[in-house]
Amino acid sequence: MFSLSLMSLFNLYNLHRRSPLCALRMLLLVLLVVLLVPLFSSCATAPASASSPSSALQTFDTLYSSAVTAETLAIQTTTTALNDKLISPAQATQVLSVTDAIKAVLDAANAAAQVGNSGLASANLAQALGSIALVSSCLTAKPLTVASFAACTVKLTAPVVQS
Amino acid sequence: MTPAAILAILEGLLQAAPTVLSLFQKAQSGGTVTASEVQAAIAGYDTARAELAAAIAAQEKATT
Repeated sequence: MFSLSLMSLFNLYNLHRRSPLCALRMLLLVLLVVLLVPLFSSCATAPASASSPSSALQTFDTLYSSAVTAETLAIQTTTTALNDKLISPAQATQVLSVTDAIKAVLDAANAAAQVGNSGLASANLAQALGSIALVSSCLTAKPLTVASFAACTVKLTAPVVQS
Repeated sequence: MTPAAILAILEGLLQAAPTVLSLFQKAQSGGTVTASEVQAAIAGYDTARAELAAAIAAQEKATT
């Protein structure tokens, strides 16, 4: 699947000439899919990973880094959209608030992983990824305007840390 | 959305994509990241967050 993702990425340069927003959506989709697959694979193999906690923790560190980077991309996209006046300062503030909550959930997942609680770590990580996906989908709505973003973010709520 | 805005977003994503895909590739192959790579991801988040906060403040100041 990863080779498929790379092929998709290589096609982005051609795609964005014809339909930039489609290319943007595809990139975000590819990033989220390749992140979600190992996440749920690691959930399925949780008992096996219990025999090698160090390896499981290292895998979680990779997933955590990937999720933080994906969230960073969403924040950077928000900044660009705000500077181009595609969204309002109030909407950007809403995104900032939600992304702060997402980061808190990611950090809770990381803390759970460090003490070997893979179930809680996976639950918090999955919740954070769902919120990142929602924010990303709102930012790539076509056309992206203050009105379309407002309509999309109606369903956008800050994730809550599970404990 | 203007073509310039779309290109700005795409350029930012494409510049960051290799880093993200590298991390995803490691996760899928069972590879691991170093502590410094984790810290780099967090530092990138902190920088992006600070830039968004600054952009919000600038826009709010411009509209008052």
